Amino acid sequence: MTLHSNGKWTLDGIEARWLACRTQEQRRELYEELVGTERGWFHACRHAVCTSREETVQSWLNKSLEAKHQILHFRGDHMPLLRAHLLSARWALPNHHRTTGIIPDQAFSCFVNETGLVPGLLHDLVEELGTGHIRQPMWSQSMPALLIDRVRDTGVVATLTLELMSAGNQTLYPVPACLFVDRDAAFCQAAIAACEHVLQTGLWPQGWDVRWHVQRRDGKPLLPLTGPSMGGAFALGLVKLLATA
Amino acid sequence: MMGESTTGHAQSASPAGKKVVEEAASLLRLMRFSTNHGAYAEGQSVAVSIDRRWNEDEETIQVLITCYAFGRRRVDWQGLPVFVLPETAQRSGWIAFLNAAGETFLPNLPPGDYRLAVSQQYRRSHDTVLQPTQPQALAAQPANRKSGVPETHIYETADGRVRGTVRQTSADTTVVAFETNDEAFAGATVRFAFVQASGQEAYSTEVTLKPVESEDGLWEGRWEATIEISEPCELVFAVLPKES
Repeated sequence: MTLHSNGKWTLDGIEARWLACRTQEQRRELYEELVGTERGWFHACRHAVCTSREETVQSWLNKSLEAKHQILHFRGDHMPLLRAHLLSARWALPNHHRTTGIIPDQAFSCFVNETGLVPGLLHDLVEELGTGHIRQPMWSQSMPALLIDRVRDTGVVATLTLELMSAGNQTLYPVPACLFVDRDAAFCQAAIAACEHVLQTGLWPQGWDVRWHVQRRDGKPLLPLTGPSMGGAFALGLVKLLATA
Repeated sequence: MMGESTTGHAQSASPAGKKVVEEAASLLRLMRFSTNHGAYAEGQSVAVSIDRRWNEDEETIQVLITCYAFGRRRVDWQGLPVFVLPETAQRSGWIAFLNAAGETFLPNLPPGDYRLAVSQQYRRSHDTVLQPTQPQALAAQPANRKSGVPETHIYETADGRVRGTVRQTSADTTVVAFETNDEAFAGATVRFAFVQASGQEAYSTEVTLKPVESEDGLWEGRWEATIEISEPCELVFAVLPKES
């Protein structure tokens, strides 16, 4: 296991910084650092894995006291994702299942149910928390995509990357780094419609997933993914990926 | 580094002095003036006058706002901000600060109709909280470099009951948020402005203090937008009484 982690972020440090915040906006700023491009929450969980802080992870998973509870519940829709990181960190701890290289199927099924995330995404999250890297894809395909900056009312050019992943179940899911990116119902529905369309073509083989991520070409933090406009890029990208692979 | 409190104003005065300021603020909020009409109002303990006259350029007017406390009361007028708001919403307003004698002078106001907003619950940052936008420099910045405000600034009213936060987000938007744990301010309007050294507002608007769902006993008003300014600006805010 690689023991490198971003030492700036620790679970205890997050709690201490939270308690030191004087205003709700300061807490919001800290929270944005946890779930934004900087991925503070991920790095804190990874630090816990690298330093074998099982008790610390467990203390966040138990019925938490005030600060931990406030952080986990700061945004209701993020709470399952924050917990999923903690649960994945527990899985990734050196004395847990992954050191044997075998994750028992039944236990992993329970783990999947507990987090509510798809298995492929969980495998990536556990892998990244443990090693600092996500799994390698079998094949990848990148597409240009246009995002809308609703604050400035302008278009932003981004790259949508789709990756073919083995040991899957015909599921589309994001890389862990995109887990907290806001996606509205129209965006999600467009992605689902693209998947259904490609499944109907018979191009998508059994036993394979597709992993996606989006990056702005100007390198700035990703905007919320809204509206159905990415549906076309997903459909075209999936067809190209699966036909090529 | 966070901004530190530097206000010293009406809160340090005697209770009687505070009542005088409170009455003056109430009168000022009701007053209107225009290019051709000044204003005068009198209460139980204070009189307020607004005098205006054309400048020699015949394109702008100068305005003198004066608060007279009756009797020999000690009143701390120093620093009380007076928001001078054009009735035409499209134009930016001005902020004038009363001196210790209860006077303030606006030397170059465009002709027009104006109203005033004043509150004893206020705060002036004195620090620059917003730097001019430099498009080329901005474009050359690394992705995560924050521009404008280098760090989060927090300012409280003198009694600490209302806190304001100014920060720049990683998406280069500016956030201004106000909060209170005092139920007396639930639903209150907070007027804030980014103000140039001349007193002209670069930008101003209002937010309402609403309950925060995730935290009982906390009310917050929040504004977030991209803003481009040509001169460094400080922040001035005032919690306006509900009736206004």
